[in-house]
Amino acid sequence: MSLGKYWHLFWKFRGIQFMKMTEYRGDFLFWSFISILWTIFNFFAFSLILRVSGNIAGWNQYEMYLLLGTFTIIDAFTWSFFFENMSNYTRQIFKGELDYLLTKPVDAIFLLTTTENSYNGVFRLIIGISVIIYSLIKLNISSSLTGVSLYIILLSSGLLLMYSCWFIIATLAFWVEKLDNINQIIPGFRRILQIPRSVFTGAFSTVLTVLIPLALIASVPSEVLLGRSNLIVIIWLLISTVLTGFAGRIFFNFSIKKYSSVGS
Amino acid sequence: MSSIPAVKVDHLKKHFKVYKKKPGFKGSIESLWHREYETVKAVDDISFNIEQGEIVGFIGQNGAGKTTTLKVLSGLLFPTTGSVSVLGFDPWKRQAAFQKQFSLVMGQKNQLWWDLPAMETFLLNQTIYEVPEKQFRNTLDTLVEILDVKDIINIQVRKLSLGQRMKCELIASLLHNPKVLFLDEPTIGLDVVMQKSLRDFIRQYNKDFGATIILTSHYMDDVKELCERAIMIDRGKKVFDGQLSKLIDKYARNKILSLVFSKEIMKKDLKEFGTIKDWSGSTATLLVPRKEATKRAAKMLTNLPIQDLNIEEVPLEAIIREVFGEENRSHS
Repeated sequence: MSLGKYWHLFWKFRGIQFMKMTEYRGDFLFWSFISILWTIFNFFAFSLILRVSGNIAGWNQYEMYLLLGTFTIIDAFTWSFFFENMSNYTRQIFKGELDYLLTKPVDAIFLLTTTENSYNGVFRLIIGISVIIYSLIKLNISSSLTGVSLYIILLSSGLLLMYSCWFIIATLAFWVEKLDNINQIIPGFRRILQIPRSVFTGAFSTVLTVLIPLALIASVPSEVLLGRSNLIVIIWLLISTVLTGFAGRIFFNFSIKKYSSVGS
Repeated sequence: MSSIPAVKVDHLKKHFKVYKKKPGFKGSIESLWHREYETVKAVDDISFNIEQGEIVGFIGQNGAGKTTTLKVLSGLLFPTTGSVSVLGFDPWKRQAAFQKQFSLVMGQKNQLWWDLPAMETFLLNQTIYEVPEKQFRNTLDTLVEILDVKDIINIQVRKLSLGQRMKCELIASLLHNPKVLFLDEPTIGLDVVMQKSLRDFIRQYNKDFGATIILTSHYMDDVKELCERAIMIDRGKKVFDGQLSKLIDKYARNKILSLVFSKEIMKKDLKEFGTIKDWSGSTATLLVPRKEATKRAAKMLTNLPIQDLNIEEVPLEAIIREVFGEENRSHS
């Protein structure tokens, strides 16, 4: 199957999920409302801290809002895309329901990671983008097309890194009979994303910016928009994304042999 | 028929390690630090070939290893040892070229999107299998017509009956015109009319597309009507592979004689002819040794006031029960 077909299939799934969403309008409206409330509360909590401290690790109020805007975009993907697919993935492993998916002439990882999504996070995504634009205006920064493009590339890279880490952890489901809350591990760590990477020092810095560079996911793209990017850190974010992606694929191909399905 | 088998299974074994829990609360506590595992031999050294265009019935009791074999053939399960080949491919490699040529239909699982009409799944499968628009429309129209589901393919799947869903499942699985079809209990839970309609369809599909089909079913009518050849497995081992008629010849020791009398007769008058299964005075059903069925029927016609006599084979279900009964006895 060509890349074009995968692209087509990706959007086909989005269309199917949209049709599903329209079947359950009440569910969509309720969870969208909750999502908006949570996002507003998060900004409110940080605004209280910033009102007292003035800055966090050298990031002033609007720089922090820009970082939080980036985090909000990532959070929209976390709950609307990653969580939906990974929950479905682990449920199918535990219940032995991967059968039909594995017989399709499409890359199994592609199907496992792109089939599901919800649209509850759309408003969160809009809020995130709006806050970033507002912060840039307040900071009097006019980003170039190159800067915005690099921001999008690094944000996508960060999202892929996070998704790959999540996929590796979810793939552990092949090795255990049951592992409750396996899909809460990465969301639990996502708090790290909304803090500037410079907060982490010593061993924490080594772990969270080098070994498992989750602290780079929101900070690095935000730094690009703020014009304070570090080339080595950017390269490391890109390399670690590729390495984690490959590691996820190798681990999946190894683990799938443990799949036992269920009898009829 | 081609000389290259469509399906080749060579000394296939699929073993699972399962945890055996001791009963009760004490067993649960013990299981926290010590667990006993045992190896379940779901498939244990079976070999067979299936030629292109054949319909083969896979017969066996629950847990015999039928579905496990189909799942290995579909590339879902990795064989413990042995090798399998379907259309020359190793299923485990899950190559797209192979996956576009086969389909697995499981009566107890579904691939249809539950919250949407079946048509959406058909369109998705068209993209997944890269079926050209013209071929898709032609195949869809044909399948919709044969299975008579024109009115339901645009209704939400969750609002369809089991039989309607099964028909749509079949369409979703056949839109890419697979050359090999693995049908695992496709008629389970369906009423007799729907079972017959699906059987007719499967036969027609085999005829029209020359498809190779492996069928597992608990309904022996499915196997009897569709398959000339049967493979019987028990506890993961193959116990029979051959013509269905030979299975009957080999294991059916009796035939059934159904009798209608022109005047009532006593039960004791029938005892010399065979085992009486049913008697009401004017009718009776007897089990007679298979080889002597004709001779005894002739003798009854001479000695008894018979109005009507019918000689039938014992139902396949009874034969299967007998075979597995023997197997169980030999294992105990």
